[in-house]
Amino acid sequence: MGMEDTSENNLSEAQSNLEREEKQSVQGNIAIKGTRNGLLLTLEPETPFSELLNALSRRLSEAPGFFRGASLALDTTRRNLRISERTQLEALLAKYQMSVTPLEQTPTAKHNEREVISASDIGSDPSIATEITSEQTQAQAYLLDPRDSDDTLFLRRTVRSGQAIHHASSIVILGDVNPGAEIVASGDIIVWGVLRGMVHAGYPNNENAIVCSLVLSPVQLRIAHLLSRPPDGFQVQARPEFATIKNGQIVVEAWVNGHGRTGRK
Amino acid sequence: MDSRVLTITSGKGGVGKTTTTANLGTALAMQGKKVAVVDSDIGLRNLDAVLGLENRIVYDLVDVVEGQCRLRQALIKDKRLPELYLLPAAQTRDKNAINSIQMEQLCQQLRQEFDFVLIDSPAGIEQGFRNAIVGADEIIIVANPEMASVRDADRIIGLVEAAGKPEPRLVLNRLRPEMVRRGDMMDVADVIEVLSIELIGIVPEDEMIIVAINKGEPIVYEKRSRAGSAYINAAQRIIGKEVPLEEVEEAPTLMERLRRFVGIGPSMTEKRVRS
Repeated sequence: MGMEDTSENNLSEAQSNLEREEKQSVQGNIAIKGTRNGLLLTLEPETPFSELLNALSRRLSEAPGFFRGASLALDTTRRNLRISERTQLEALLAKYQMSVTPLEQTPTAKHNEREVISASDIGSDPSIATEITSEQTQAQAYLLDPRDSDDTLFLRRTVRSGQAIHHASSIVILGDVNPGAEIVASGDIIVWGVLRGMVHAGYPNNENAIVCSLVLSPVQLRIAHLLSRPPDGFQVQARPEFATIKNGQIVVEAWVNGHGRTGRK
Repeated sequence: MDSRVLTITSGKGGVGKTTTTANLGTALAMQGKKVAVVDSDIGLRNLDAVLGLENRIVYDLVDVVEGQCRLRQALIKDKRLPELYLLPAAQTRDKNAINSIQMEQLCQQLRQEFDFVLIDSPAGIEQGFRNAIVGADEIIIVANPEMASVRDADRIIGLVEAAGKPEPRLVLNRLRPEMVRRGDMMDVADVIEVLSIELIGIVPEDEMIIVAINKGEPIVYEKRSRAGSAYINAAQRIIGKEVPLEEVEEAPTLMERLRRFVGIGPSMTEKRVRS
């Protein structure tokens, strides 16, 4: 699961720039710092969230090229976000094809192993950070089934080649997902449109997650730790279908009147 | 002043960006518009040759940006159309010779002088591409009806949207009607289904284009060429005129007409339903 190819240079460029400007970058009550493990966003604890959001929006629009495709870790040592706030933040970042890595503590905090892995690969793959920290974050943030939380990411657009959407809960897309696009969710993935790209629901290990779409024709479909792809000579069915894990493998079935519910446990 | 800056881009190389730029530019100038075509493919310039102006280059885009000459000195007047100008790329430099800010300023300068500024983008998604789109009001994507080209076009559409530009429009180039009919090539509907953007031109594959490029004469001058008339129609649509999209069917061969006359074989109407 590579990140956007274009973003790598931008990101390291952005990082070195940001490191240089670190002091000045504390403007409008937000700070974006380049760290060894990627970008780290710190939010001022006393400021209202809407102001922080505006400040961040302004900052991103100043240099959209620098930030595009980057993943951002959120420093919550000083300020914790509510679910609704987090959703708004993720929606803003999605505009720049950015994502929040579920790295809830400062990346410099601990774990030498993490540094070894990421140092060779600075900021280029959010999944590495995610994977390594997944045990801790699971314990903290996602004790519940992610589908029970209300911070679903809703997107009303075509997700195109090279665009990656990563979200810590479910994702609903009103539009198509084209080949070369990548959707990764800890919960379900629902595509009201044609699904032709790569999707990974229930990342990293939520086996109850489902994927459904009006026309299910993904390059590759992953749920939790399982991976499947359409068999050779596969004919696309022009009808709504859903994919679930049954008996240890991914099964795709037609979505018949209420039948989809049986996919849930 | 309501001048428009359009960038012609594709992601993938070899799909016909330069040919499209030359022909749209020429067709717009034939409509009486004052047009500048800009070659932003620094280091791999070709637009000058396609227009047959390569031997007139003295200064180029990089010279203008670096202040070695004035813009007017670098603009080359077309051989036939007094309202068509070319700003050639530098051949001995590379894409990093200019930056986005300089390119945007250059577009602003060109706006003062022209109704239309057409920028021929290099292939790829790196600095050269970013320079090409930074000053554009509109983006025109050139794609061929084949998988690699459509996927790259899709990638470009995403990048264009992320750059805050309006939704690009599409010129579908090098369509081969006989292959579409056999089911061996994506048809127009297949491409539009994936890209879901507005189509402003369907240009059939045409051997005469290669001859035209070698001669340095845009195909729009060739009255008999279907590709030429497709570009003229696309230019009309850019100006805002309502022109029906090209019929993708090939003109029936003598044999087909004969069969139809006798009353065997598929009728024209039946086939049109398919496309």
